[in-house]
Amino acid sequence: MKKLLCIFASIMALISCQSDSSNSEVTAPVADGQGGSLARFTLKGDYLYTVDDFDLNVFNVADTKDPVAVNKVPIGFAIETLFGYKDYLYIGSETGMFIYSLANPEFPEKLSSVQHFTACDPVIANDTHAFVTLHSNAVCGNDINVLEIYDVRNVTEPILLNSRNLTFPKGLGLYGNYLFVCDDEIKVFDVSIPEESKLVTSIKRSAFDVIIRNDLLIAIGESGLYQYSLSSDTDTGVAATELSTIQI
Amino acid sequence: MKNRLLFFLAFICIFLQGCWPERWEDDVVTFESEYEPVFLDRTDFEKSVNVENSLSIGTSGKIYIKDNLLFINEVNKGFHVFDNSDPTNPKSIKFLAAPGSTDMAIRSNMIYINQATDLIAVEYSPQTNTASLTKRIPNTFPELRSPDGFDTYSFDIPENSVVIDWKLKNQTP
Repeated sequence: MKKLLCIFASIMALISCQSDSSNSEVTAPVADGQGGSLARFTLKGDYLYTVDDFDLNVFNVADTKDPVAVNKVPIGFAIETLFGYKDYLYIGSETGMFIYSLANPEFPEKLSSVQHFTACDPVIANDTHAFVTLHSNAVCGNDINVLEIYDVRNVTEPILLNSRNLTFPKGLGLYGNYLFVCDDEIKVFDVSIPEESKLVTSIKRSAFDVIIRNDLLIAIGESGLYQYSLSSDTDTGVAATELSTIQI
Repeated sequence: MKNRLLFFLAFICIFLQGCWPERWEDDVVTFESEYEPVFLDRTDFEKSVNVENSLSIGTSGKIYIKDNLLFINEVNKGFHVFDNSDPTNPKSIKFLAAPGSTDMAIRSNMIYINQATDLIAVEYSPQTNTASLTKRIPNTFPELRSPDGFDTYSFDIPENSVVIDWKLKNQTP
């Protein structure tokens, strides 16, 4: 009897493990929408994370109709953007990039930060690297307009691999090994070797943010919303075919 | 805490530096925003979240996609809703008015929005394009600052009202 109970318990444990992993990896992307790199809201598990000027706010959305504020974590000042990847939050501020762990989802814990001179900066990341653009304007001060690539395999110690000057970089998005950066035009970099990011092509549009979902690129600018179909290309690696424009 | 104070002081320094050269007027230095706040009485503010007929885009903000829907923020006003099931031909459907908003996130049919100082949860039906507010958490975010970085302290804001936007001051003296 005891043995039977044991087997039953372990089977239940296995089943619950399985449903857990399928929940986070299969269900979540379907139920949740997708924002651009300038987003200040992100959903993860049962929680909605948001940043305002100073704080990281945590809301429990287990009951989706009834969010409950559960925590407020002071980050610094002039917080700009929030990007969730796996169990980490990447926070872009006017003073630097912060990485927080969501090991305890109600109590995000600071793992590391990279400071830089005052500039506005969205950040996105994948398994191994974080990509940050810094740009200056009247409010942000200084004359810094660069794309920075960090090695974040050790999230407690990001290492700057590459920094390149651009004109006025803002939003950015990843398409496999290609990084789309909203600059004076939308520039596309091959970042398969992050130390040597290579400009491979560009889209002659003025935009401040992008969303890339599968092969669809959506770019938003002050005078239009532009959609492109992305595909591989023998010369440049990636090609963008225009689908439509909404004039603004 | 000490760090925050240092940040704050550094911020003030950098900030003042930017203002200094342009603000000399007959030896009197004035630190003033070029903008003035737009506010709503809280009762009206809380009733202001509605689905309206689509309108043309003025100042485009952030974008968000969920399934076939595409949202474009009208900065501090709400969200233009497009049917993007055919990306070669996105169709404008509605405007989701939410004065003071810039950001959203969507899970299933629930849209979470920063409406100025409040977090709101809005249930959106893509079938009927209707929305209903299911929750409001008031005063959980800081008040909106002006585009040139000023806060509301130096303005006469009536009690029980919420700043939803900033507009350029009247240029005529």
